[in-house]
Amino acid sequence: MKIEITIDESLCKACAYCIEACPKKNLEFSSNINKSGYHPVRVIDKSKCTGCGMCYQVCPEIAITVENES
Amino acid sequence: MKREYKRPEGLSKTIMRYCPGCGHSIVHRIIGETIDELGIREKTIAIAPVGCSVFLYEYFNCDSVQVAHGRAPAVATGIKRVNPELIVFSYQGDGDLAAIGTAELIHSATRGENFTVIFINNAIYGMTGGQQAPTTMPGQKTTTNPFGRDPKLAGYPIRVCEMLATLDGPVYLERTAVNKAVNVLKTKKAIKKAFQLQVEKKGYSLIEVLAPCPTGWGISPLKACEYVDKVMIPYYPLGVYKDLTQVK
Repeated sequence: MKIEITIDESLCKACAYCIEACPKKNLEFSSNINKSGYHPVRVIDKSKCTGCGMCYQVCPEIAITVENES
Repeated sequence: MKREYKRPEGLSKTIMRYCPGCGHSIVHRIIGETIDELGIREKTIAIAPVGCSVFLYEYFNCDSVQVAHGRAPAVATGIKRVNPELIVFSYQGDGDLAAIGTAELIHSATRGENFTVIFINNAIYGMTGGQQAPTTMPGQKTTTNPFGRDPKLAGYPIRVCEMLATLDGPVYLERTAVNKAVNVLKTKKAIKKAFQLQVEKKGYSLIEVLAPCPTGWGISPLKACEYVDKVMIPYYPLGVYKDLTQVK
């Protein structure tokens, strides 16, 4: 089983929808600022991600990509 | 089994310039996925409205037309009648569809034209700066009624799905929302069904999507999603309003 979650920081607009949607509460705002001036979302612990794709479903910017091989 | 959640091919690589938390881009992605899954990208024509989604032709990886304010169903009718093999969908906001374009909407529905209308209801005119739309909630503050919409002065919001359900033309009418993950998944199902019906040449379908507009409403994105849940959904109940595919 291989789960790969990537967040394109340059696309994130910090709406926090994914933070709210994550069933494991595994996402948070990072401290750095992207080129649009937002604090992009980052994954707290990649090993905890179950690959459910809920963050992708609610992300308006399609900044989150999830690959789930199981 | 491999599941991949990534940018669909139905969308171009252009970065969407919507405000943070806007519902438009979620619906764009859903339509892009639907186009991919049905394999109709080469024969799909998107009709872009006037409103926040006016640059839709830059975001979709298919042919598109940007039309005059509210006239999307009229142009869609023309394209579909000239070439019935094409898959045509119009994408309209509430100011475009429920105010200036009401005549085109109702008459295309009653004719039962074979195309799909995606109606984004965010209860406000977003692009022009947050004025009152026909779908603005009673008591909701906008730039044109800073003390909240007074139904005695400005009338009551229009429920488009209920209105069209009285007509014989439409085949499939459903209202969904994109304020949380479960509703996004339901919206995906509804939009895919509407496109599928068009591919099968069944007739007119309209999907109304309740979308948050944090900037226009002047609240944070998460509060906007809550507002959809607490204020909009009780007034605009979600569900299927007409489905002729079930009736034999």
